[in-house]
Amino acid sequence: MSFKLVGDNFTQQRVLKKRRVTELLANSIDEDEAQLTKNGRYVCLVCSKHPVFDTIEMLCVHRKGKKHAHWSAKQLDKKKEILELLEKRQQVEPETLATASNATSVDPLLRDSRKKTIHALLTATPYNPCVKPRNAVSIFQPLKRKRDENPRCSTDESSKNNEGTCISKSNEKNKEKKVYVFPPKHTKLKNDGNNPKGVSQIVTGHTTGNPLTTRYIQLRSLGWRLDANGNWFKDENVEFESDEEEPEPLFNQKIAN
Amino acid sequence: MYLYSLTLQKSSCITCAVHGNFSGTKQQEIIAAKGKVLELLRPDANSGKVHSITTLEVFGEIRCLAPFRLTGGSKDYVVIGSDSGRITILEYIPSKNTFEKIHQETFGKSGCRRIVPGQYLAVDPKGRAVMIGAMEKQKLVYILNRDTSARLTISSPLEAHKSHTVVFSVVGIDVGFENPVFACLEVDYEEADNDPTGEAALTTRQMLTYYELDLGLNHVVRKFTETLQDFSNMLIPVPGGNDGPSGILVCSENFITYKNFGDQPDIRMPIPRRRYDLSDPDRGILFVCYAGHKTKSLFFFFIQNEQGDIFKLTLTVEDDMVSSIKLKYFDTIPVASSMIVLKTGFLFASSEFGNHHLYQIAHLGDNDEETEFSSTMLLDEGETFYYSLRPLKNLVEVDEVDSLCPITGCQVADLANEDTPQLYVSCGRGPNSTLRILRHGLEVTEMAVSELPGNPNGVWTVKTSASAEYDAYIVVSFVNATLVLSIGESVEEVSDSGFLGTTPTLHCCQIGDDALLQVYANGIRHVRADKRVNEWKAPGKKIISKCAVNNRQVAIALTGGELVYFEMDLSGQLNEYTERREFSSEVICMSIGSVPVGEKRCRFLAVGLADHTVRMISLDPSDCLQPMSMQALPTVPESLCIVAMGSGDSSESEQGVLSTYYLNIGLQNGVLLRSVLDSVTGDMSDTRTRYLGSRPVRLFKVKIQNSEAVLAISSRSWLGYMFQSVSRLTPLSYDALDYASGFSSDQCPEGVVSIAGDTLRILALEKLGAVFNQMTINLKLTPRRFAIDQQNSNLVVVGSDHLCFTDSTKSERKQQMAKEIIESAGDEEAELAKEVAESFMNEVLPATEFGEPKAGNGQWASCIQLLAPDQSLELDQDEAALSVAICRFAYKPDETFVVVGVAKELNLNPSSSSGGLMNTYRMANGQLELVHKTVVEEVPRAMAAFQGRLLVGTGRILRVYDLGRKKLLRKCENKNFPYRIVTISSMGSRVIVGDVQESVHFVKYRAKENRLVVFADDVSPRYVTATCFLDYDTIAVGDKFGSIAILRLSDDINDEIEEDPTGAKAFWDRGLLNGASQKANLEASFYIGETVMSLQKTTIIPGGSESLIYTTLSGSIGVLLPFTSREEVDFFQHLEMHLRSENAPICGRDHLAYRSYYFPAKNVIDGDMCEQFNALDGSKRRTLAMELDRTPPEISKKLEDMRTRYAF
Repeated sequence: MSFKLVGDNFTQQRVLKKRRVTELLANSIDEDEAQLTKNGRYVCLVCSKHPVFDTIEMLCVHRKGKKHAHWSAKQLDKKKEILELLEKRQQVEPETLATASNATSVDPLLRDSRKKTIHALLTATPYNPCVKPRNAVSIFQPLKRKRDENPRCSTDESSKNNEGTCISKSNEKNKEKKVYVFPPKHTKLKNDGNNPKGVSQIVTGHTTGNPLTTRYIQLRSLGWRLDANGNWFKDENVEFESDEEEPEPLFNQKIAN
Repeated sequence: MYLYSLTLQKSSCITCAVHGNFSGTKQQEIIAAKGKVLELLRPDANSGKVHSITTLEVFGEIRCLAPFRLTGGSKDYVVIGSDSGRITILEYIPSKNTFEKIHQETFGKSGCRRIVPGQYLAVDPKGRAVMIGAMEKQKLVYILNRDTSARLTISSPLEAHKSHTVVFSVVGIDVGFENPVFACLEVDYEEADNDPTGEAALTTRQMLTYYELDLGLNHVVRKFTETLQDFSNMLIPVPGGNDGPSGILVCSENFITYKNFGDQPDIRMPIPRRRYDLSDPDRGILFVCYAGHKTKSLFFFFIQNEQGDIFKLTLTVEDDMVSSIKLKYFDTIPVASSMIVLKTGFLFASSEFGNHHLYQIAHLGDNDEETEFSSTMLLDEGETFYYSLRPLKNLVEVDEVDSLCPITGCQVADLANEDTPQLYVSCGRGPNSTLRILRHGLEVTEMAVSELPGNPNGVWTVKTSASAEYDAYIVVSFVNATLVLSIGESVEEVSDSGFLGTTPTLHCCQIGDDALLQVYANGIRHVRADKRVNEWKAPGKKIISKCAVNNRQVAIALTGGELVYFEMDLSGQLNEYTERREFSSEVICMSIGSVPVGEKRCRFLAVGLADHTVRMISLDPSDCLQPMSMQALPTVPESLCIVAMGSGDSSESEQGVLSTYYLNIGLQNGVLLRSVLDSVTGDMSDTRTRYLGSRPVRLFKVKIQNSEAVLAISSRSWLGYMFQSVSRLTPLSYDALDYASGFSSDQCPEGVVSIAGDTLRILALEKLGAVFNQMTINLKLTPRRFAIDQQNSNLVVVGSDHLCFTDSTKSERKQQMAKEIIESAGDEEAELAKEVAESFMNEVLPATEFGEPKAGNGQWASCIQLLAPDQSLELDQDEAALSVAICRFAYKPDETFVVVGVAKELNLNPSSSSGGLMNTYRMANGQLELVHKTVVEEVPRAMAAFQGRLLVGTGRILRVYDLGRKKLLRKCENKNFPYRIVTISSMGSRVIVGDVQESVHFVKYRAKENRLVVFADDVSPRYVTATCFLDYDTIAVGDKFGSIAILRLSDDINDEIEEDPTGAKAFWDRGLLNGASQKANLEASFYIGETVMSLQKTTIIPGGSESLIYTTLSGSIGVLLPFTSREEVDFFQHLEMHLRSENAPICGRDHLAYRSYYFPAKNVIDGDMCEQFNALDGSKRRTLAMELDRTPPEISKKLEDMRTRYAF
């Protein structure tokens, strides 16, 4: 495509000039009063019937008409009404907030800037289980220690990088302690790293403390699915041991707990 | 994110090597092309070692090299065919130790294209013309000449194009001084291309075409074309003119043919084969490499076949006509990419895979019982000659140049529990594969270790005269005595040396022309050549605390900080200077530089005092013992050493290359400071700091490659030396030492004698310039993948080889062949045949020397090798082990399992297989035992442990497997990957899956729904070979074409998205336009130039910061370092920009275009380019530094800092 005019065809130039003028004219019309449609026509948004015009001149002629004036007056009234309502709301709001004794402002800008201030004043980066700190201590030392403390817990190759979620197999007696969730082994714990309780109590990621949820996630990831009655059935796309039996329904278990 | 790319070890794979007299002296040198690196090697005939003289990164792909010499000249030039679309002629300048561009002519577009010349080079043997050709169509001929002032000139190109031809080989025929002729192996595919039935393609034959350059008419003509009988791969030019019959040897499958113009009939001869070879008998055999040798009286060729067997080829000439070809089995060496015969009787073979070798040619194989095959011997159709294999007989291996090529994988880990992590690199191919453990440091060869009676506190070596080549005595000082050992055939104690043995020694050395000097606590003993002894006694109750001595000067410090200075006069008498100098505090150490060539004294004495200062004292007669300059130190100095570096050998220093004095200061806190000493004012400037170890740093002057170097001893020993005009400080991979001194004897011309505890050790430092020292563990087959078990410090390697038999199949075939031998023999030969069969059965040919027999297509052998303890499991024939993972399943958390992905009957072209297997092994007590095998429908090429389960990529399916009792149980899968999964890495619940063609996919495992959801992917097609997580949102991707990209998920990317939000599964499951709806952003991109085989984020030096380390197929190891500040980025960006214009790559490729080969380079600064700043000449360096508002030393320091912060 070329932007240069070729030859001495002045008609083209005139057409362009005209188009430019109409564009300039169009500037004086508010955006919410008219709309340029995909096919290049103009729609008046003020009048209730949304009349369509081929050119901007036609639209201009229409805008000077009686009908349009009528609708435009109506619209002005409506706008005024809304503005008043808004003002009213804004005046009422602080009062209600004050009564609710909630000091935090709902103003999103303020909230954002406060968040940023807190972030800027942080002495250390917030804990993120996936980011390995600089000058991390020897990677494999803590791993061994943890394993000794919780011998039933699995730790595989990948868990050295991940959130360290690991789920032990069912042991009927202590179901609450079935799930051990470790912080990544390279994270230095603030409350003295060699406190074994501190290690196993930290819970991260999607597994919450709720044993029911944990149980659900565990069975779900093993390929069991729940039917409408709360009974487990085998997912047809998943392979199981030939003698594997359906686990207890989730809600019975809850009662048992 | 901005990164700084640095190559730690350059590529070691020689793609092409040529030889010639590039320095213009009589000595032959080798120029080797290693991908993007050009290296000059000099084989030393005396020591039998190959020294690397200079290495230059060209930032372009070197595709071919050719040396040439103008008629009557004595110096060789080298022509480079590269991907720059230009022909480049280089000259080696010995005084600057660098290559210089003589000519560079542009002829086409850049890049490796079909019709742009650069792939083939051929030079007229008389150096009159050079032909540069493309794979297809285009060939250009340049005429080389010299102008009135004897400079090389190059003409404008003459075209010899012919469309629709594919070229296989181009050589220049030796025709003496007639018009230059080039021979090409070509295929004209025009007819085949236009024939839709495909019949023409079957009948198309290869042609041998001669192009003649008519020097009179100045144009090239296609002189003659003949159709060849068989498809050929290589042409060998035969010497012509006065030296031989001229013509060419055409190497084709199973045959070699001699051809020439005129009446000469073709002489054709079958290529001999190995007797009783287990290889597939239908396989043809090819010659792959040759080396020619020509003297005034004879010429011959060494030609190597694809099994590594070398033949000596000679031609019988009668009346200027060749009557027969003679071939004789010579020896077997690893298959070479180029072979070079040197005039000094050495054969340099640059191996295609693995280490390169230098052999001495002990015999030419003329007078032995080996049968010589001749083309005149009559054979039936389809018959050939047979020869028996034997160990090396004519060649003697004298040197080995380490090469990691091809690297198939690398992991950085500290399994040996050292403070520095080691690099575990699997490399090599076939039976010569190795696992190499790389550690940063110089390899040390222990020549001798001997126990001493007590703990010595000093050791020195002494010559008897200044002109002596080797040392005569080793002097060892103890607490109360001094032991003098003489160096000869053996090392033994002597008492007639003239040294005082009853007192400890502070220093001793040879002084003057032929005298000896011993400094001890109470005095100085000067032993003249005729054993007269002059003694100087320390005054009163004072004793000598420190001393500094060179060949003519002695400076001593008495207790209390008094300095006394002696100088030798013309009669060889030591005279004390009239004045002494008092210091305010005790002298702790002192050093004096060596006397410069042609001068009477060194003008500087450095004195380290207890008040944390180092002072330079003048020794000039005009202001003797006057202080010149002073430097304050952070702590007490321990040792000083002034060395002159940068002069190279003495012959070069005579040419006016001045060496620089460096003052090395070892501090008690283990830090080494190195300052440049101004040769006039004695000012110290440009101080570099390096932490060496926990112990105080002691410094000793040693000789390395004929120039001075400094050995610094702390808790680790380091060597500071100049290598290829760059100063280096490298640790020695050896025990901690206490004291050291240079050592030179007949067996060890440049060594170090040292004390460690109560032992005296003589060490040699041979592999100078090497970044890593290697420990090699041999593997049986090409290592495909390996996995490290951190817990047990163990390593599992899976290896597999195509066209290979397993051991059991091999022995079966062997038995069958023995049976055939017996059956085929007649009655009268039955006894003999039995014997032959028996000896054949008992014969053991090590595969490492002779290679494995080649099996047919689709046949595989595999093994799983466990190191420490060594255990090897062989898989069945035609099972190819391609992937491995070590996994601890949540189901059995206490046990370690090794899962190996195996392909069954894998065919490479066209790619097909009859399914795959996953073999699960239990690792118990360091042994692997098979648990079960799981059948899968496609080949499992990638595996990774994942949250107590196993992630497997089989074909285009990603699956999660759990351990079952009879097999692995499929728990979850996603089938929507484009072609083939090749890499898997995980962090948290995020997984990145690399596809063979379609870059990476970010997958999240959603445990609640038990689904693997692709939530984001990349927009560019990358042929992924390696991936690695940098953080939770950022990954690094390496690809087959040699690019590394850093991709990052922006903050607004949601990994919780539904893959299928509408529920209309069938259509929407594939995501938007077959991709994920969210895309990763490209953070940085860089072209390395070699296929990336591994990526890992790690620290490689203790206390260093994390960097991204990569290895490539051609054996290079590099790092990408993150910048920490914006200023640094700006600085290096500007430096790189200036260097691009001031120091454009030598082969003519545009640097920025090269680094943007496949994807535009982004946010990565080329450290290799920046470090070339140090190699620029002074004036250029100064102007460049001025533009950056800095001084050249500041820039060098910044470059060094950047390197030492992360790596070495």
